[in-house]
Amino acid sequence: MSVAIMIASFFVFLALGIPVVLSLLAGSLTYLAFNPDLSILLIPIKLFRATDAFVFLSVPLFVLAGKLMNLTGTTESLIEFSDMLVGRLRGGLAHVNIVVSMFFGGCTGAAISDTTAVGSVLIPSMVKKGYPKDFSAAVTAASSTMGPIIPPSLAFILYGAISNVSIGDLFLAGIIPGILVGVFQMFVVFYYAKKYNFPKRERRYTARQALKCFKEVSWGLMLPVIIVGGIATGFCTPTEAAAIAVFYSFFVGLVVYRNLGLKQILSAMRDSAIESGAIMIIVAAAALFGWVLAMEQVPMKLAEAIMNVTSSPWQVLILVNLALLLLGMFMDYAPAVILVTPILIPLYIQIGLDPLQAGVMTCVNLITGLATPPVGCCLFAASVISGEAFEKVCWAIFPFILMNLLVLALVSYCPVVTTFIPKVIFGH
Amino acid sequence: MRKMLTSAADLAWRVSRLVCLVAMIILTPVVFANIVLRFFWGYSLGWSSEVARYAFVWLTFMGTATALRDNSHAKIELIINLAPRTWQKYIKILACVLIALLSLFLIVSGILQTIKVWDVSAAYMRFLSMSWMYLAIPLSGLFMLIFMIENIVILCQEGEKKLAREDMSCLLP
Repeated sequence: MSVAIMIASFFVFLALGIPVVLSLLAGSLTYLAFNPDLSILLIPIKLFRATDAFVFLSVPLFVLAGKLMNLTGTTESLIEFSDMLVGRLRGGLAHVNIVVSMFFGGCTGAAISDTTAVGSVLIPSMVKKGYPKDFSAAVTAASSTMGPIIPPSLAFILYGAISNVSIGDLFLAGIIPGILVGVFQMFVVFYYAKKYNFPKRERRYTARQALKCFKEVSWGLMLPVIIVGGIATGFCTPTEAAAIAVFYSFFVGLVVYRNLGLKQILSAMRDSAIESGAIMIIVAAAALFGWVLAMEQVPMKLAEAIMNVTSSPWQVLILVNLALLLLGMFMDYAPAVILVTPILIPLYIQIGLDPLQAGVMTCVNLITGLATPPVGCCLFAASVISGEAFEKVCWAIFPFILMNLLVLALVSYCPVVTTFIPKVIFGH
Repeated sequence: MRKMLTSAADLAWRVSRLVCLVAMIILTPVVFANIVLRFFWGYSLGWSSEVARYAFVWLTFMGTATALRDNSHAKIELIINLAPRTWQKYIKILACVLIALLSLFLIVSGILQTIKVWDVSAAYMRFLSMSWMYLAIPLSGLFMLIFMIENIVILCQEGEKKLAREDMSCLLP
């Protein structure tokens, strides 16, 4: 009974526009109020215990590495490099927009900074070359959803840390789905480019220019290789890989490009700390909330209830995916991953879904919400940058989101999409 | 009165941002140094992971307080945006009052816990009491309380115009 009131008060607080973390806290507090034998000191203790895990130290460090990489001007060289690769295709700049997000995802992994950094350069030049405004904004926002899927990825770190699935495996498993999102979205661009006869780049790169361009970009592209390689080979833990990534970005910014100032570094450090603090406190509050849920066996009961409706795995997966898509439309992916992971794990186990595949599915699903109306933050940012009305961008992004859903279906129903690379590397 | 409140909130905001920065400055090299030590000399420093954890706890709770004033916590505002315009102000005031009550609870329970563990020292750094770690909770609660009182006063006096950055333009580079 008291657990029902706890869940209800969580949703009431959420509906009032109170931050997720405080709604979780309020819910747990009502549970304590109904169970006076539990000490109120449980709240500070549980909050504290959850933040006291070494693996979560990787969160501020990864965020910082991404911010530093962005400051060193990697964005420009990534755009130039992508232009060299796919700019000659019809609809060149739209393809560049997608390919650059693929690389950007490896370097920083933050979707919103992908939209703003890439969008503020590419959207104006796309519009100037005659692409429709809504299409330019849509392709920018949609391609940003690749960033959090392609490793290193915050969503996978959170899922892995909560569910005890190896973060290295998750990173490797995210590579194919991430690239597929980009490739499928490029098909959409091909279709529109042919229909509306979009321009392409006429100039050709000479071999020397191409080499110079590759040299410029190789510093940035080394970062995901170091991180994923380091974790996957077992050389370092995710937290250590994140620290190496930070020092690598310092090295690139201070020694190679020499364009990082002390002031920039300090404010990047402070902002990363605040951003990750706001994520970590949700992890802590969700651990408290989830502890009560687990004590009352809510996840098990939920799994049973769903299995009573339908016990065939593929139908359960449809239900879960629809529920997650709905959640992702209203909530940012990081808090959503933190909230649903402990609740869904028993269900995944019951239908015999590989926890690795389940993790990629959960993350890919929730990340789609970054670019869906009504509150997708990438969609907002792209519409602000392009100056196009939000509603028009929402319509224009629809075909791209369909491609994300196609990849989601592949991830949900074809284990090979996620397990192929981890299998090849580890042989299990 | 209003002026004093604003300067108190400004001070709390500055302190929490500063603590976040300092925590990050400590945490990054400590974690990195540990890898270097382990890789070249094959051992790691016990106290280093403890320092990193202290820094991380402070970063988490001070980041939480800062993000509350910056209005950057994850939340769902769609439902209150559907409410009639005149109600929205009152719903927002109600939300601020509820958050203030929660912060008050964090202060009380946090102080109780901080006092309780005063005699418990850290595993490696014996001279350091665990209280220094738990202290982050009531302090974060205090800052949040100040920010919420400030918000309530602003909302009552002049509507929501002057509330912290709520528009999307802050996303632009």
